Amino acid sequence: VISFGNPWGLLALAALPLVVYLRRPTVGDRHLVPLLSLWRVAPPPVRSGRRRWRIDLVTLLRSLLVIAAALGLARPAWPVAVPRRHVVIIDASASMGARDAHGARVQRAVERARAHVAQMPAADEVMVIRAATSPVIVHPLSDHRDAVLVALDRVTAGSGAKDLDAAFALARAALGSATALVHVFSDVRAPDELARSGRRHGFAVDDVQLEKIGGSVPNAGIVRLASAHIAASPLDHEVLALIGNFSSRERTVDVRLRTADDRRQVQRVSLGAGERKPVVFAVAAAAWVEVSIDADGDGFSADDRAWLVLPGGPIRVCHGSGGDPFLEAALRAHPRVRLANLGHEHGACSVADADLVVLDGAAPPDDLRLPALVVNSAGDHEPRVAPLVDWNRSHPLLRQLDLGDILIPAGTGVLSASAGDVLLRSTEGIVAVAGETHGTRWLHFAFPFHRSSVIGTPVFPILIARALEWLLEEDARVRNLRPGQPLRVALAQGRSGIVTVHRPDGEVVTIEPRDRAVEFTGTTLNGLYRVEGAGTQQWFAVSLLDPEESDVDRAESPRPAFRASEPAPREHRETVRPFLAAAVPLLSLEIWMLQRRLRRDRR
Amino acid sequence: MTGLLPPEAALRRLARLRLQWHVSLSMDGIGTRRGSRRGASREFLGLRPYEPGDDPRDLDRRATVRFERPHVRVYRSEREASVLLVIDTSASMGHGAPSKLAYAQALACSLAYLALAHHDRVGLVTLGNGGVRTLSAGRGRGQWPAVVRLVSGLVPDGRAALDAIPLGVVGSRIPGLVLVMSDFYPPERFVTGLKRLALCPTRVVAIQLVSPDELGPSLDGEVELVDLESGETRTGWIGSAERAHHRQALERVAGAVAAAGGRRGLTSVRLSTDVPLTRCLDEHLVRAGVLRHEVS
Repeated sequence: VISFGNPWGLLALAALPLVVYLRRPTVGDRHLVPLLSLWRVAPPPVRSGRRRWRIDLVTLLRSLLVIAAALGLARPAWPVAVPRRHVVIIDASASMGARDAHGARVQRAVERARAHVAQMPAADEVMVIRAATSPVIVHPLSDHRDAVLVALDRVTAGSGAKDLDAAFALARAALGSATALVHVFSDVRAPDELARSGRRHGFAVDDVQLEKIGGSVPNAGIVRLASAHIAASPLDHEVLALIGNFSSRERTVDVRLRTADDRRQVQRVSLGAGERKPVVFAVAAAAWVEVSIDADGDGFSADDRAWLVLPGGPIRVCHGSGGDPFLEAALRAHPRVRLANLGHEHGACSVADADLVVLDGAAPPDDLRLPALVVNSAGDHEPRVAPLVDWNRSHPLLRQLDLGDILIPAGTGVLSASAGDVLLRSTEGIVAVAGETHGTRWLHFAFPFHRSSVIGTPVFPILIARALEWLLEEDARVRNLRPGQPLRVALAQGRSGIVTVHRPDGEVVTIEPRDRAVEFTGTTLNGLYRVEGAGTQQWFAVSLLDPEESDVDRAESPRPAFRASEPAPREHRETVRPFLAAAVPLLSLEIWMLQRRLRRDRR
Repeated sequence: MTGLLPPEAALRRLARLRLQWHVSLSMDGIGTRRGSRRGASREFLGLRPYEPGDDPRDLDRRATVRFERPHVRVYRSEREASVLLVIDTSASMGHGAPSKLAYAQALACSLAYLALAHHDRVGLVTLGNGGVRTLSAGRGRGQWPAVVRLVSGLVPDGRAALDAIPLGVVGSRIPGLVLVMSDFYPPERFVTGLKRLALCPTRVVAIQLVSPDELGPSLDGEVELVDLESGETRTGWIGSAERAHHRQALERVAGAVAAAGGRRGLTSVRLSTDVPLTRCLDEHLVRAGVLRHEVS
């Protein structure tokens, strides 16, 4: 039904009778003839309406002009079908790669999405988002159906965890403030969470439609992988693999471990329904280990293998010695430390080749990007001493250590707590701080160890050993990633050049370092990544290790009614410009006709 | 009228045109033309039926007995040439733009000028609602203002009939040339008069004035026609058939006018009022033999 934004404008149509009246047959249409008998006239035709109501062109133009002006003033609005926008989100997380009797879930998701798209009205616009760890718009909003279908066909399951919330955020960012119907094809376990995500990003609950792709898929997988140094043998590690049984029956799986130098171990573990069990391996120093399970009958293989880069190996310590023999002895006591002194002609170390820097009595350079243990031993200290009155018992360095009887030289100066965590506090103030800058840890002691009583206690070598482990601990953590997490490498000072990243599938990616750092975001595959160049060679492991993704045995919800097949919403759209645009040529034509008639009359 | 009248300079240039008589030029006699009316020479030309106004002395008894109808003898006489201009001022002459009457006024003035320029006598008769107004034939300078004064005061009105001209006006003057300027509407009011004039020993020229609208009417569709003279109205549809019928009717009027001369004949000229007057004089009337270029 046509509506009018300004119905009063239709009053202008009242001018139509006036136009017709002005052009009525008047005296002007009476023709004076010199002799009537010369003329023979025909009787008016009765049936020929066209002749009877012969339309005068000027009257017609004026009438059209009045109609156009009236409609322009009335601002007519027609109900037009509004093309809807659809966002098709295909869950491409690792669990969507699970296979059941009907095939891969992601394939079913794509097929159902294609069926949905085929039902959509031609004018509707569709956007396709591949929702993995990092969602990607694989087809922008358009009504190009063929391109949409091609984009859908290209969607495959990834190797990471799902993040549908990020997909909603991406859709909202692409749509702006526009509304859209969101069709999610996923095996998400909690539909309510999906609705909350949609609402959080401005999508009405009714506009978010989930088609849950599921099925019965028995699975056993590795859900956690971690390592720790063996206290009695610091160069060796304990590797813990947590194996989960996500099926409804008891299973026995062989857990295999392979090290970088191809040493292998196997353990068999029996798991009850839904049970998780840890499997521990003792591993000699190695760059990485690969843990896999033989899970026959699994419908999901992405969690059957996992990798772990071990933090072990020699710790290359560059020591700027201030002459503290006790500190040097404690450093050398650590079995993994390869100590080199800074500035000595023989065995001199370079910061660029070190994993860690110990600066005894020297201030660290501002651009140091290595973990550093800094000991302040400069200056003449007073002969008097100050007792430690407090220490951070919850910090990993000081757990279970008793520092109550430790005396340190007085007047050594105090540190600021603003940069890190306070470790030690004497009667004069803060004397030890631990912190992290740009992802690099550091420790700062404000007193020389050899002038304190700590050297005479068993605490000292433990403290130094823990300090070295703690300083390098973060380094090990950042080398074990989840799919999609960026891979970051900080280059040593003075190192530059191209860095290559060797992906698990053999692809080699070349990266130009920026600000002495390399970041690689293409960690989409599970496996080992090797980073080489610019004086560094490092391993990175990318593993799924996500119990949520491994638990692929999910019920499939009944297929919801497809909302896109509903009649498209209609809205009244005002159309003024065409009428105004029509009025201009009508007016011009009418003026031209009048002038032509005037000229003819003059003649 | 004055707008249509050629400027005097143009008229002077046109003065080389001379009204054409049927008789050959002669240098003897009183005048400079030899008319076809009886005159003092008593040169017998022939017989014709008697008409009211004829001199009973001219009755030919033998012919009257033989034909059982009064006949008069007609003589050729050499006498002073005289031009009689007859203007129809009926309401139908007001039709057109310019009106046919305005055209007739300008044409009459022009012809009078040409005649006076050649020392001819010029008389004027107007036919209209007010009856017949005459200007006695005269020549010389004094006649031109009188002609212009009478012609300028003409307005189209009422009806006219050529029959209303008393033959005395024509007969007493015995003009050498009678030029009737009219649309001859309705023709039945003019035919009889033309026939009577044609019997006179003079040359009769019937100049039918028509407006371009009459020659090519553009009426179309539903119209209401109003007769200019009678005020009678007629409503109906006009299409191509009706316009064709009008053209045929117009031709019939012209044919009736031309046939009015009978055996003696008369010169019939149809002029459209959109023809410039100088062109009308220089071409149309010359082609019709009403005017001729004077041989220098």
